[in-house]
Amino acid sequence: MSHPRKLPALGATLLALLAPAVAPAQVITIKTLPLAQGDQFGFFPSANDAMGGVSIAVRDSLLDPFVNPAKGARIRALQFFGSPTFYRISRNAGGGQTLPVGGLATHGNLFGGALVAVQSLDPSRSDPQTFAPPGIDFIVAPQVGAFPVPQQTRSKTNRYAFATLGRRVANGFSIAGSVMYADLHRLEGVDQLYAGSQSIAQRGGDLDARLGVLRDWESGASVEAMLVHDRVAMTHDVTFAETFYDPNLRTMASRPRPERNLDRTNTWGLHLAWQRPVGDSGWRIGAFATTNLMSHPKLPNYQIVDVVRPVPWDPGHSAAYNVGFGIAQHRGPSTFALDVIYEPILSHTWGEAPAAIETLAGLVIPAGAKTTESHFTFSNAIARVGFAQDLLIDGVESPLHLQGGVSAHAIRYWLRQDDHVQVTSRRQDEHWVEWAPTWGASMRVAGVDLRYVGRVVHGTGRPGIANDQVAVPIFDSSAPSILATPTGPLTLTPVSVTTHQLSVSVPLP
Amino acid sequence: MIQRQCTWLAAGLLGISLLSGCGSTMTERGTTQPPPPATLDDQLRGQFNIWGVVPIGAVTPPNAALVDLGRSLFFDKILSGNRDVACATCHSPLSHGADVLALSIGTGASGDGSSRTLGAGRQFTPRNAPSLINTGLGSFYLFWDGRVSDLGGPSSFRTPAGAALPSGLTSVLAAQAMFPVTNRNEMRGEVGDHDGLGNSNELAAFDSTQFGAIWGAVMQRLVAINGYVAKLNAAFPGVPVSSLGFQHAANAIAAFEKTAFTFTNSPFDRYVAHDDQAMTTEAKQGALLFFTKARCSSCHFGPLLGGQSFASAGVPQLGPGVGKDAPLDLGQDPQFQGQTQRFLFRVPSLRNVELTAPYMHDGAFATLDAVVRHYNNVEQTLRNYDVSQLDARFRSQYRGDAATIDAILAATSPVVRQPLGLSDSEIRQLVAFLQSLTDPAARDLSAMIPASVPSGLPVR
Repeated sequence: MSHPRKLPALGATLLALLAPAVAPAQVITIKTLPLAQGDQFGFFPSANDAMGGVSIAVRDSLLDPFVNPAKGARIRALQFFGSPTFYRISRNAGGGQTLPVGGLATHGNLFGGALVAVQSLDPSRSDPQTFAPPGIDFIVAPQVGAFPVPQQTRSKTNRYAFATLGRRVANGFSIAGSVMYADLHRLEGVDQLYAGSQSIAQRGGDLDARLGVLRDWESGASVEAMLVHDRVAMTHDVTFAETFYDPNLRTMASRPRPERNLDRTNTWGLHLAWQRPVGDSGWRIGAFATTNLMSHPKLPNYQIVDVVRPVPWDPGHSAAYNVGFGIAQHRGPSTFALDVIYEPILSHTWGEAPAAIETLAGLVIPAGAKTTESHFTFSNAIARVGFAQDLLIDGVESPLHLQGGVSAHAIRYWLRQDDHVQVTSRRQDEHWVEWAPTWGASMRVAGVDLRYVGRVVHGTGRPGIANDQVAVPIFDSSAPSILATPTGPLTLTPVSVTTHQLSVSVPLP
Repeated sequence: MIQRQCTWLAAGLLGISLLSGCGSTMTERGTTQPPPPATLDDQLRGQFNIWGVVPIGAVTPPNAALVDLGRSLFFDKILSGNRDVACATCHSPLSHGADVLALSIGTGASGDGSSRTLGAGRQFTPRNAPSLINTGLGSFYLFWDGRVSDLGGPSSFRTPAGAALPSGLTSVLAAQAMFPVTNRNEMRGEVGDHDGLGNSNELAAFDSTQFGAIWGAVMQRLVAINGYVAKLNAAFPGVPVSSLGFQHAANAIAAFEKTAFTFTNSPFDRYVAHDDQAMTTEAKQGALLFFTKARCSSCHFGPLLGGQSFASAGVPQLGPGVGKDAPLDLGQDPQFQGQTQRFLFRVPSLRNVELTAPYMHDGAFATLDAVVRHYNNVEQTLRNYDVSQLDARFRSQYRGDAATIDAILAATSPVVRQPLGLSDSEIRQLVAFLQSLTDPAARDLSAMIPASVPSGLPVR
């Protein structure tokens, strides 16, 4: 693992709808590369995260209201919490720390909550990172100068605000809505996506709105439905170091070349879930189904030297689905849970001709028509398994609650790419597995719930370029969407993402 | 009790251990397809990296008064001994900074452009007038034989004048502008010449090695004209006119040439500056051939696509010849560059080449298509040179004897001599690429021609 792994070229539109937007779950992640995403958005408090993230057949008293606001109906008491979260990507590829604080409350039939978070993200690369064109060999040797550029070695701050409000209607029905807005100045890894750039200034936001309905039965069964709308709007002002010929000095020199990229993805999602106990056996079962319809009106022109070339004006759309089944058993102090999810996804992305362009076959593609098209067909699977065990310790009133688990995300897709300009078509099949062991412990001390969760994500990497002269980290992203066209071999340097979260929850009577 | 409680814990830890052990397998990633073929754009930009093709920066505008002076001088026939040839005569804006003749016609002639007619007892200049377009972009060598050069460093100009070259020249383009006025065939004239008004040609009286005297005499003509005195004072404020030399005039001419003849907004320029749509697909295909199969970039490399080296390209010989080797023209003079190879000529920049026919150092080829076909099979083209493509006046100037052809072929660069095997469609693609090097603004340069010049001599 210490040597870079050579990856076959994708040669396809690289689509990575990474990180489950800002709020957790129900916005399906699409990836075409095993990219290390960091854990920028993994700061919500959770009771089950340490169990491999199982969620289908077990309830999560901390996380559930953030996933489906209607589940806030289960709040029985005022509760304050804070969950400082730290993650680090190996090989100095970045990291971040987040301090969320919030509270959940109920009054009569109303319930609600709020959360604010401040996040500091470290840069995932060192500065500057310039690629000088190799092979320039003038009879009169030029000089390559440099120009001062803004350094981006400093951390950037993101801010998050979440609010939810709901009402218990009758007969166990509840309805609630939530809104979350992220004021973003850095998305993990985006500064790896513009090869040759000197600096990237990011700004924008992610708005996530949810409307949920929940029906709880006294038997412990429940049915829920939720509508999700998520809008990502980021602007990347990228400054490249461009080598140019200075005719006044008759030398090669560098100058800044600014480029603005827009990242726009809109998602509509519908999520249905069901859960119930199996008699008095201690077993619970659950199932869910999710549909995401995504449009990508504008995606960034990511550039990876000799590997990913931008396809300007590249829009697209995706339809992502998942269905899952879970079981859990509570037996005394022990809990076991298992989730199995199948995730079919269809994505179609294309490049549009800004002006009429002649194909190699001599035909003319009119302005606005498609120049290249990529059709992805995904068949992903997710398995999560977790356990929990309460340990009674002599002299301590509250048991020590230990958790462990692992999740595996198998990604497989088939690609058909048509280049209407070069009149070529090709197919490609890619697959890999990402897995993450998790662990944690919690304990109530003096009426305060203390919780620790740790996880390490393996199977992802940070692409770089290996040529004779330059080996540069390129890719490490959890940007909401990425669309670019790899054209050569990617070199993936394996990295792992380690996250530690401490949460303090103070239930008030 | 503890033992029972830990049943699930132990099972869980065992599961994690097993999964962790499988980690290396689980992270393997597979593909069933080979890497995709690189797109035309990818291939082209890769070639740009190899051959140093980068965007060209902006030229710093020279002093406006200097440019104004240079403009007048450029179009004023007062600089020629017989007051009948200006710089613009052979480097006409109407012909994109060149003329349309295979071999230029200097002093003693009549007419302009294609109708220019050799005077009685005169002969063609030995070479084609190179276009001035983009010569201000930092050339290192000027003239087809590179006899004026600037390779950097102190006292960097190397010229035929040697130590007689005055100081104060600001560029190699200015250094070049010092010499046409000293050339009898081009501008200075012969002893005994008189101009159209019957004035004797005092410039022709000097020996050709008396550079300083010639330049001084030209300058005397200029300072005798009030209009030039005013322009000189404006261009060189605070410098007494009496202390100005022809190098000042040359600096002004160069400033004008640099300002007026720089064109760097061709489709190719825009493509290099990351506009993938700027070039047609056919031109891109031609560009890829240019950098690969056709081997053009072996000589035409760098941001200017040439202009920085010399090559023996197997070009048919035309013209009266040069120096002791006449009627042959052996090109680069070994005394200047230390080269021993014969028939070496400067590799010109190809920017805007579409506009500057005829081509090569002696105008041997009338079209870009003919040039590309020449490189496609140099020996065949040389041995079967089609003299009909020349204007009838120049056909007799062709030196097509077997000995000359053999000598040229013997000296031809190996990279050029080997046939390329280009198809007709590939030749069309290459020509399309060469046409993409044209800045549309360079197509009509008539606006730069002044209505009059300070001497009062006719501009056209």
